[in-house]
Amino acid sequence: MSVPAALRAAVLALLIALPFFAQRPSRPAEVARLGGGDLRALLSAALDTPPGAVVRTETSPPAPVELALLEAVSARAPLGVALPEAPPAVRVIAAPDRARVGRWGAIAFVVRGEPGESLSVTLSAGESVVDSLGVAIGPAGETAAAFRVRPARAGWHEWSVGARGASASAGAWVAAARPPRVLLATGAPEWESRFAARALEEAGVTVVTSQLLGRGLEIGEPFPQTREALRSYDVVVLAAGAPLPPARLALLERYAGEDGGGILVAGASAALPALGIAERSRSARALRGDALQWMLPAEMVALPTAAILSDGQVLEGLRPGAIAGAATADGAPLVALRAHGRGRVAAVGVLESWRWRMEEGRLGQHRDYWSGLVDWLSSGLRDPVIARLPAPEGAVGIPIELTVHAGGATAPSLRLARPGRAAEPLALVGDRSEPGAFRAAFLPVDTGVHLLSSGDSLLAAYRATGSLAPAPEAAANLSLLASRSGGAALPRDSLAAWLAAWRPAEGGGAGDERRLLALVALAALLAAAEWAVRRSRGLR
Amino acid sequence: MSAAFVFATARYQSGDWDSAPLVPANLVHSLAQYTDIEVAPEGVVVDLGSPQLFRHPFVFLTGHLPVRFDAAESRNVRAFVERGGLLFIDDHNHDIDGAFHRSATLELHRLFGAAALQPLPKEHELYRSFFVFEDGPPTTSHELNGWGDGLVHRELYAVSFGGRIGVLYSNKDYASEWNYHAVNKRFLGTDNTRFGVNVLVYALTR
Repeated sequence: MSVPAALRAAVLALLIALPFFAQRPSRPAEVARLGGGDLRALLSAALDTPPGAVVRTETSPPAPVELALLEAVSARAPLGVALPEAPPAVRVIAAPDRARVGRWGAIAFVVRGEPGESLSVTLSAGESVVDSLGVAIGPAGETAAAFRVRPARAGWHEWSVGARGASASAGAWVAAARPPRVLLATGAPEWESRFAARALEEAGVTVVTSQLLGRGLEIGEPFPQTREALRSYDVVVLAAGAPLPPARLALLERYAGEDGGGILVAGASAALPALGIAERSRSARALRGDALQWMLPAEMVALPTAAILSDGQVLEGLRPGAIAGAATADGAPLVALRAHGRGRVAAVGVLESWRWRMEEGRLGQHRDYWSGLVDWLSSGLRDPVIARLPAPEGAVGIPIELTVHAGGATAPSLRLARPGRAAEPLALVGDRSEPGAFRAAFLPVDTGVHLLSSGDSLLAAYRATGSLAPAPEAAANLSLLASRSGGAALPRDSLAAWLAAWRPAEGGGAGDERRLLALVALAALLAAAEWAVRRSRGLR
Repeated sequence: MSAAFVFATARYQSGDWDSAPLVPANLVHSLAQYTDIEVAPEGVVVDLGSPQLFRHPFVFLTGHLPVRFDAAESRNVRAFVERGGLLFIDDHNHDIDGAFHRSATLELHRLFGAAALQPLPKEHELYRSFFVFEDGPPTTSHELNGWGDGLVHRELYAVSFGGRIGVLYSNKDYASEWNYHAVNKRFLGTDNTRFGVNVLVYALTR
């Protein structure tokens, strides 16, 4: 190629490139200020002409989708983000699990404050405060506690836990349920089973007794002889001294393990090792009611501290999986709880709880103690098909994977009813690692309650909300993005000062203009050179 | 501690609370004889106005003389029934115009209201809790002999709480009927403490 031709080509190339340089912003044209949930603005900042800088003023941690968009934006513009504020004063850590009408459930929460501080925490349903309790903040600056709830109607329930002006919500689907049906099997009559039956009946529980009087006489119903007959009860209470021949014990093992029933064993019994609770029990000295230690699950109620002497049995050799729910002052277990197959079993060594009622007049606590035991025991997996969700609620657009347990290798028929729509079948895939288990998934696209059913049985419910859960390590990742983008993570009230300082320092518009002028001058110079060469060679 | 049933007799400030001292032994004997219920061989006496009352969910009270509960006794009797205890009151006079009957029923009216004490129908489960008494409460020999008011009382009375008997009241003078020396029981054609077993089984099971 001749020199003039090369110069012409260079000029042409520069002229073609000039518009692209001209498109770069000469100054930071705008500053995008984004709220935490302002995804539309964030998407625009990520895809359209980038602003000079992006500022996120929200102090709440971003959701995964927001974090991904911020990452895209941070590649194009400096990111200034507000540091998260101190963790919320209260947060819910567990909503009622498998909640049912008339049964006790628990809302567990953590409340933060100054070590040693005493706080009042409230539980609200709708606009009404339905419960409150005082908590003392521990040395770590937080304390875990729980409210007990007993929903009166079926459907979606929403509660709010409030403390120090902050609140956190908890939601759960409450399934319709009839009152628990309890079979109270006893030996010869004694006060404990008489008062237990009274307490349970006062709590709305249906109690059927099977009681031996001696001389071949029996009160109430004969003890069921078949699994089918036993399945009509939610819980079987074996009072101290209740006869337990081997065939009955075998029947009870299958009732709990395979049919999801609940069994309460009071005192010494062959059922203790057979149901995997403890090796044995031994007679305790008179239990002092003011020295018992209670560690029951939150939905259960301990007997109150009282100067009472009670007959008792201490459990020895707790089996793996059994947890102590109460102990003597020196730590010997008195109450033990555990899952047994699909069901639940418990052993109780406090054999005269009626004294709390008669001697101390604690009628309410005695009633709640017994109904709490029965409600917990009746929460086994009684339905033939069980569906388990990872959480009771979450944001739309997040896929939900669930596990379904069925009795055999055949996948059950599962249907999903989305909010306001007809039920649709849901595909199940067998889980090779767990016989009888199947996996399924669905994507909530509308807010509202999604119902999962099999046949006529409602298995589970999932509530899709419009709000997104925070991304894992959201605050740390956000700070990292800000740093990489040339921006900063600052306290919220410092962001304005950062912007003011950033604009003159980072404003690249003047440099761009200079580069543009240099390119134009270079093109003119090359064109002049080409013209000079042509003239010197006598070319036209 | 023991879960055995302990027969408790109420001691109250007015009247003659210990007018039938042999009743506990006879009823305890019958309870052990007919049922598998674990029974303490000795009964106890509890002051009606003391906290000891609440250690015994069944308490027997009788006497001939006028009854007037003091403040502590009144408070305890009401709480005892509300908490689930059963107080069995028997008129040792067997006389509806007698001092015990008039004063005891007045006290029950005062504590539980005028309408609280109601007759028990003969179909009540008390009459079927162990032995079956088709005609309601069994007649006592003192009624048949024309003692007291000379009447055969057809029914017992009760103050009910939560659908169960809290106070069982009798004009039939079971205190006299059951207040014999234990060795004399062998001379009875029919054991007359069988209804006492019903009362105790009812208390322990309902």
